[in-house]
Formats: sequence, C-alpha cells, structure tokens
Amino acid sequence: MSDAPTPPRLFSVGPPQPGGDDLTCEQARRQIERMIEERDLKEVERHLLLAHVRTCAGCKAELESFRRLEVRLKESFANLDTSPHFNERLMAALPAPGSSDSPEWSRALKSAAPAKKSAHPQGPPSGAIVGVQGKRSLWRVYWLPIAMSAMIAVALTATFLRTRGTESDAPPMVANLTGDARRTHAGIQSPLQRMDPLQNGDLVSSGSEPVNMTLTSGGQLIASVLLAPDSQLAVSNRHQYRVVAGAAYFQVRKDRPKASAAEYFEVDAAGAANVRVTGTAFIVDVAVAPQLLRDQRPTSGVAMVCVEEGSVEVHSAATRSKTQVVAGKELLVTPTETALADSDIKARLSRLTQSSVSAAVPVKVETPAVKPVPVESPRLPPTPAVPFSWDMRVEAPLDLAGKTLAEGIEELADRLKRPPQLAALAEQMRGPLVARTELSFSIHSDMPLRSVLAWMARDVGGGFETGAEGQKPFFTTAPKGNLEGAAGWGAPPEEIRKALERSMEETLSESRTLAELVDRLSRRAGVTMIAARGAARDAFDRKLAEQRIALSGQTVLQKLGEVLKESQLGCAWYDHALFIAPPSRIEALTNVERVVPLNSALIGQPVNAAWVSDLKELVRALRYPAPALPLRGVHLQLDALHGDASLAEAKICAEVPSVDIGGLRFKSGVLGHALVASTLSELGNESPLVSEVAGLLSQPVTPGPVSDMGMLISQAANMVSIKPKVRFPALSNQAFVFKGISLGEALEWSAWTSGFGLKLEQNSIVISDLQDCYGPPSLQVVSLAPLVARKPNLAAEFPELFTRLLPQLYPTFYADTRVRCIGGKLVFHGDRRQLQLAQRLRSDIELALDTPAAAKLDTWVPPYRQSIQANLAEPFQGTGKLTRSFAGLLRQSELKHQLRCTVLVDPVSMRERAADQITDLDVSNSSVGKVLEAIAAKARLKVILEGDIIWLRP
Amino acid sequence: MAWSDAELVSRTLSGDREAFGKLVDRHRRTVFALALQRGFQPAEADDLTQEVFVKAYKSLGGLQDHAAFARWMYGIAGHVLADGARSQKRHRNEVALESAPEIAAESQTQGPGRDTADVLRALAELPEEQRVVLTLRYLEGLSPKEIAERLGEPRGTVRSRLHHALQYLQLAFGFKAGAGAGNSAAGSGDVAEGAVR
Repeated sequence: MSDAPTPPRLFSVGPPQPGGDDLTCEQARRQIERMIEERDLKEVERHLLLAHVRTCAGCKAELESFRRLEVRLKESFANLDTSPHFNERLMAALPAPGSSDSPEWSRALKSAAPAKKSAHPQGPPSGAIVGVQGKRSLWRVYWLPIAMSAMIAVALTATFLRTRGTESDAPPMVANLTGDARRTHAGIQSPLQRMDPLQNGDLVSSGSEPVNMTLTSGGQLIASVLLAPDSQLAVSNRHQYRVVAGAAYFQVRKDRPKASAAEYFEVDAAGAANVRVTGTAFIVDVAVAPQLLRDQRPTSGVAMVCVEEGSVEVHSAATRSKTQVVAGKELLVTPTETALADSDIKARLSRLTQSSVSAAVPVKVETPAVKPVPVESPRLPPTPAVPFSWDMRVEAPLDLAGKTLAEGIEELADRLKRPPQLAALAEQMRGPLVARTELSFSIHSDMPLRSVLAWMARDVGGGFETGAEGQKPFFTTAPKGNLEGAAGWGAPPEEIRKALERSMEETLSESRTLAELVDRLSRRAGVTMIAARGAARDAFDRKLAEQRIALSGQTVLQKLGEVLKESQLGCAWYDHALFIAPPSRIEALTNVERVVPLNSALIGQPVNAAWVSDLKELVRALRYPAPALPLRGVHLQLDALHGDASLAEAKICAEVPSVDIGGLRFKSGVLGHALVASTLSELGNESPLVSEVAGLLSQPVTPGPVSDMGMLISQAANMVSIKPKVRFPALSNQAFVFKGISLGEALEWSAWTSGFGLKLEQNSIVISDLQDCYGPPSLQVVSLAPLVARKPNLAAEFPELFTRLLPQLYPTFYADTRVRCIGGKLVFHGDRRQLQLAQRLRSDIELALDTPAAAKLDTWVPPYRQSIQANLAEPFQGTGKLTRSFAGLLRQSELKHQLRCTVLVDPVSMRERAADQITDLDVSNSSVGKVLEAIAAKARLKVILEGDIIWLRP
Repeated sequence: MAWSDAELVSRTLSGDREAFGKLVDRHRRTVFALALQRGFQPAEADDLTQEVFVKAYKSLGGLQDHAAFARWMYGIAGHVLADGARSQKRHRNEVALESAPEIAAESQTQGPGRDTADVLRALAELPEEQRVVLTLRYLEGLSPKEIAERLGEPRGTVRSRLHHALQYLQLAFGFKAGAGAGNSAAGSGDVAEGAVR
C-alpha cells in the first residue's frame, strides 16, 4: 500500500490543514449552532462544515457535544406520555353538555340549538323568536349604512375587475424566448422580449426563423410554444390562444395554473378547428392556411392533439363533437371530422422540435371538403441520424463563458441540433439563478452532454440530474456531487496530462480574473478547466486586480501549477474537467459513495499474499484511521462490502477465490477514490509485497486445538511484529477449535477472551487493553440509510431487526447496551468494536435484502449463525458414555471433527477446570450441541453463541 | 388533512367534543412534560395535565383568537402547575425523579427512566420560557419558526431561548467540547457524518 503510487501533487487535494478550509472555526461553530437550532443548513454549507470538522478537532468535539445533547434530549422526551387511557378519563371528566357545571359557551350552544329549528314548519320555540326579533331590530337601525356599503363594494369590485381582470384572465408572461419575435399591442409593433407580459389582443409574429417561448403565469409554467416561421399567434389570456397564420406547437403542462379545475386550455385554429382541452399534459399542434383565411373560409385549420399523460377532452367547434383522448393516443381535428389514432408521443415530440420548425410548411387545405390530413404531418422534419443520449459527446470548443445558463442551454441545443430532451430541459430555465448568473467557463475538450450540463449547473450553484429511467432531467438548486456514469476522479488520464504539457510562452499577466486565466490555459491545452466560484476565487481575483501576476512556466501544466500555488487552490480531474477549487471544496463536492468492483481485481487471480495484504492494509487503514497510516488526512470511510464474506474477516481473495465479491463500497473525496483505485489497480497487477501485517491477518489458522496463546503468537510472530502492551496470561490447555477463521481473527478473539483487544499500529499488531484498542465507550451511530435505500418499504422494520439481532448475535458485547433508533440511525453507547459488529450486521442484512430471506426478516439470522445452529443440531456421531477430562472431552475426536466453527473457553475457567474429570457422560442419541452443552454443564459453564464463534463461559 | 388548532377550537365551540379530544391528543404530551419538569410524579403530572385541559375546555368560550389555542393553554398550564406546586408543597427533588420509574410502573403511567430523570432535573433549572421552547423542539420536533408561531413570540426570541437552554444543558451534562469522554475515531467519524447529514 505504501508503495502504491499516489497521484501527482498537482492533482492531489492534500490533507486539509486545520484552519485551511473555507470556514474559520468561528464560522464553523456558528454553523453548528445554526444546524442544531434551525436545521436549515444548505447542502454546500453542510459539506463545508463537514470538511471543516474533519480537520478541526475542536469543532468536531463541539459538533459531537451538540449531537450527544440532542440525542439525549430526544431520547428523554421520546417516551414521555400520559397514562394509557388519559383521553378517555379526560373526556369523562369534562362537564356534560347542559349540566350545571358545563361552561357558559356550552350552555349557550345548548340553548341555541333549538334556534336552528326555527325554520321548521312546526314553528320556532320562543327562544328563537327572540333571536330573530333582535336581528330584525338591528336591520331596522342599520339598513341604510349597510346598503350604501354594499353599493360601494359592488362598484369597487366592478372597477377592479374591469381594470385587472379575473385571475384566469391574468396575462401570460414570456419567461423564456429564443428567436426574433414581434409583438403587436394596441396596433403598435415592437420586439418581443423575455419577461414581457402578453395581454389580451396581443399578436405575436415570427419572422423567417422559428420562435420558441416558455409561457408562465404567476411564476408557474403554462406551456412551451414553438411558433413556426412566418406565423402569427393571437393571445386572449393565459389559456386562450388563436393561431392566425402559419403553425404553432404547444406543449401544455399538466401542472399549469388554473383558476378552477374546469379551466380549459383553448387553441383556436383559424376559427375552424377549435381545441378546448381540460385535463392533464398534452400537446396541441395547430396549423392554418392563411390564404384560405383571407377567403374567410371556415374550413382552413387543422389541429393535432397528443395526450402525454392522463386523459383529456377535446372539443371540436367545427364538428361540434367532443372526444375523450387518453395517453398514447392522438386526435386529428379537421373542419369536418376528428380522427383518433395511436400516438408515439416521444416520436412526435422529437419530430416536432428537432431542428425547430424552420422547415415547417403550413398545411394547405385545398377545398372546403377537406380530406383527412395524414397523421404523419408533412411539415415534420426528418429524424436525425445520431440518436440522442445524455452521454452523447459534445464537441469542443463550445463557448459558454459570459452566457447565462439559459443561453448556454440554447447554445448546446443548437450544437446538438435541438433534441427535444434539451427543449424540455429549457422549460426549467427560469428564475433569477439561471437568468442572472453568467457561466464562467467554456468547453475546450470533448465531454459527455451529461457532464456539460452538470458543470453548467454546478457553476451557477446548482445541480443537474437525469433522474431515474423514464424521468425527465432536471436542474436542482442543491449541488450534487455524484454523477451517474461519471468517470475519472483525482488524477487526469494520460492524454489530458499530455495535453497539459503543451508549451505556452505567454505570461498571461494581462488576465484580470482567475476564470479568465483558467480559460486561457484551458483554451491552449484544449482541456476544459473550471474554477469554482467562492471566497477563494474572489480573493484571488482581488489579488490579480491589485498586482499583475506573470506566469513564467513554459507549459500549461507549469503555469497551472503557478496559478494553484498563488491561489492556494487545489485541482482535481473530476467529471471530464479539471476542477480548480479549495481542497476542502473538492473533497466535499466529490465526497460521494462509490462502489469499486473487486471481482476483476481479485477473482481468478493466482494466490498472492501480496495483494491480500495490500487490501487488508487498505481496509485496516479505512477502518482504523490511525495517525501513522498513510491515508491520514484523506476522508475515506469504508461503509460496507458486498459479497459473501466481510473483507475485514480476510476470508476472501486468495484463500477463497471463488467467493463472489460484489464490490467495495466506500465514501470518499477524489483523493480517497484515487488511492483505492490505484491500490486495486496494483492488486490486479500482482503488486509486490508491501506490508506483512495485513497478510498475517488473512492467513488461515490450521484447524484444531491451540494449546495456548503463546503458540498462536509464535506462529504469527514469524511473519509480523507483535507487541503485547499488557501482561498476557498464558492460555494453556485452551481448547480452541479454529475453523473457518483467520489468524488475525483468532488473535483478536483470543485476546478478547482475556479481556484485551488487538489493533494495528505502524505495521505491528498491538495487544492492549480494550479501551486502548477500541476507544473509550462513547456514542456510536450507525446509519441505516444503505438498507433503507435498498428497501424503503422495510424502513420501519430495520430498527427492530437490529435491536433484536445485536443482543441475540453478540450477547456478551451487547449485554448492557441499549440500542435505539433515532432519525434513521442506530445509536448506542459503546466502543469501536461494538460499532464494527453493528456495521457488520448491517452488511449482512444488506446482502440478505437481495435474497428471498428479505420476506422473513422477523425471523432472519445471518448465514454464519444459521450455519452454527445447523451444525449444533446435527446428530452426534459418537455413542455410549464418555469419560475424560474437561479439556480432553472438548478435544474428543468426534466432537472436534463434527464442529465446523470455532469454540473458545473462558481462559480462567479453562485453567481451573481443564483437568476436571467428567465421567459417564451419556452421548447416545444426542446432537452436537447437546454434547457440547453437557460437557460445559459438567464444568459449570454455559454455551454462548457469540457472533460466529461458540463461547463457553461461567 | 389534519385540522388546525383554530378549526378544532371552532368545532369544539360548536359542540363537537371529539374535536376537543383531538386538541388534547395534540398537546397533552407537552403539558405532561412541563409538569414532569416541575418535579411532579408521573401520576400527579397526569392529573395536573387533565386539570389543565378541563380548565381549558371550560374557558374555551373566552378564547378570542382560536389560532392561539396552544399559547393560551400553556398559560393555563403555567397557572395550574404553579398552583399544584404551591398547594401540594411539592418541589423538585431528586428522590421524586429517581423513583419515578417504580411509581410509573405501579401507576401504569409511562414515567421517566434514569436518563430522563437526569434530563428533567437539568431542565428544571431552566427558566419556564426556555423549558417550553426546548420541550416543543425536542418533544414535538418543531422548528424555531413553528415554535415562534405557536407561542406568538418573535423567532429571534425563540432562537435565543433555545440557544441559551442548549448551552446550559451542554455544561450541565458535561457535553461541552473538551469535557467528557472522547470518542473513538471510527465512532466519532460516524457521529460527525450523521450530524452533518
């Protein structure tokens, strides 16, 4: 591991230094308080805070102290409640309605009840008459002011409605606009601009190019409208439009604003084909023939309605028909008839929007006796040769710097011949974020479309997701680090490194901003480089403004190095671009959960202790981030391992090459990922022996009894340095039966039986007291998120599963530990070993979720426990009665052969009772477990199943 | 959709006793917790909680702003609990809180455990207004904004009370940074991770 190549320094994030993060300690503490008190930290703030607390012990302690307090408070309040039948008793204690002690309001209610009956024909009771009379007298007194007030109110309302219109008449707004359009308002023509309202009677005209508009009302999207060249669209209000000339395509949103559920969306095709739709998402494609309009022929229009989702009702004014159209169908509305046909909505969308409607030719209806227009409209452009994919390459260069996100998308759409998927994405281009923030980078090397969009989003402080299959892509306001399918982390690939070696003699001293500098470097190398926005970049910009910085390096790479040095920024190859940002930011942004497949590295390889040890050391380092280990300062947290065996148990790899190891899952920043990747790469290449320590741990122990710990240590000491820090009792006469267990595990269990622990320290195995090895008991938290993510429907069952299984599987470890579930996390007070066991159980459960066992989680136990239980239930092969010493019986050959798991005996008991004679132990018709129990009982010991071992103790 | 307090009050006033039951369901744990924080035994706290709601029911006609039911009812709770403390001469004492589980078991009332007793004892040292804020936060899980709306107090005031209460409790429990046992590397990493999520 230590020989594993690390990425070049230029691309290394490096260990974040205390105080070197974006946050100062004071800021971090304020954030912590805010997080605890308000819970309103944004994603970026959380990442920054996380990055800070990782490197700052003081703030970490502060955060932990708050968390502990929160947990304690929540736990304390969680179970506080009144007695079980409190409500019933209370309701019984409330005064009965009408009783003497009932409240005044209740009595009034009682007396008022008959008043309601006053309208009854039988005649009102007297009380009611009084009430009515009272009201009548009031009316007599105030009738004049009331009447005047009503008249004024009516007048004001009428004035308001005349001037403002009703809500449903609120004008639509052009939230987004591409192409040159003109608006004719009150007879005056002017260029249509973004954010212009469209008022009643307005006429929008396109020129020789198509016009694409996104219409909103009250901030909510109504529809996307594509107006063909030389077309005209008359607007009445937000839901009534008329295609006066040419053709228009409307994609109407399901969630468009409506004054009422009955509000329809109407598109009038030249007064002939009138489409009125109430319902969900649909498309209206309308064309008219203007020359026919001039003839005032009423049969000049045609409309196509495609239903995207749900069902809609289409009214055809011309034929006076009403047709129900469901999703997947389309309705052709002509002046004389309507024709329903199957619709491929995606194909239609694609055809309608690809390369705009520039080629659109309005349907010409020759005669009033119109033939049904073919469903395949002649004005649709041909399907492009290259199929759309979010991973399709975007060829460099693509100038984006200085453009808004909306403009950037348009630029991209143009480059890719306007695929409909991007048109759909463009619908989201609204709001101040995308309207005002200019992109700060350009694309100088080919990138996948997905990456371009993600970088554009990140650059304006947001995120981009393509979502699950079938979902539409969307921009988010929360930054998202991980990308599906994104490849390349940390160090750039070879071809990029070569590109960075290009010579560059200019000093670039005229550059005034970091973004500008980076863009120049980027352009020269032909590599996309992106400088993150933020305080660090601003500070460097100020520095650049105050003093000219001349870069003396002869290559792009050297100059980039100088920039990074001057700006104190880091650089990492991330998602097909060189990302320049503060180190903590890079780690935070790229701090994502990843899965590295291990199969290719491990399965099918010859037995090689070297990569076993490498991997073991890596895992040890991940699990025990001791200061001496080379991964210090790198955030890398092993979360779980897919496969039949836990990596920590060293049962995989060389010894069991057939085990299907799914992958190593971990959470890390770019450098952590680079380290894992390079380690695995080295493992795959049969790397030289790096460390013997981990190799030791993975060596299988020869099955059979071990007479004492000293022998075990001697066996291990041949391979590695073992440093007992404690006086270790000799485990003479111990009757270990090691099966399916590694030497490291055997050592750890052996140490544990004597109340000690094991830890790795500077390539040595240290045997020390439990606290030294596993830390003092403290609050431990295990997230259940990985399980919930896999089976959300079982989320409610997981906490109970853990609280049942942990004490059941590890009765000694969890004897006095109360495990609770708080906010989707297991919380308990324990040491690191207990934490590891809980994490192991989580991995076991996670694996079980993919098997039929998931259906019976309430009775499920891990496979290793099932195996032990099955083993103990097997019939004992021996017969008759046994007579031998306690230790001798444990080593009895039949028992030894039949047991397929490790048996440990409490060392003190073993010392005292090893020689105790047990006579006439009847083993006839007994099971392996019963024999073991009988032997234990004779020695006054109990048989305890502890994890995957059997443990005999008092 | 859940009824608002104001709607439930209106329905109660129109004769719907079930609506009042819903109000009780919604607020009884908070009142019960406030009573426990004053040092009452669970059974006594149960009785006092009942008394608070009976009084609230009887006086409901006088509540002008129905949306302010919770604030108004906490006021009643404050009086009832103070009267209870005076008349029964019950003051906070450790014995009462420590023995709470046994009493709770006898009375079939879910009482505080040892940890809870410690927390309640620490809370008892806080001013009433801080206790209320803390209870609403950690018992009902309300945000400072929601607490401010419920109490009719400025959000800044609520935040300030929460801040001071948490600061005090950190010290009281020895959780303040640097105090108490340190955490293991793996464990603390996990805690920090969880905390920031």
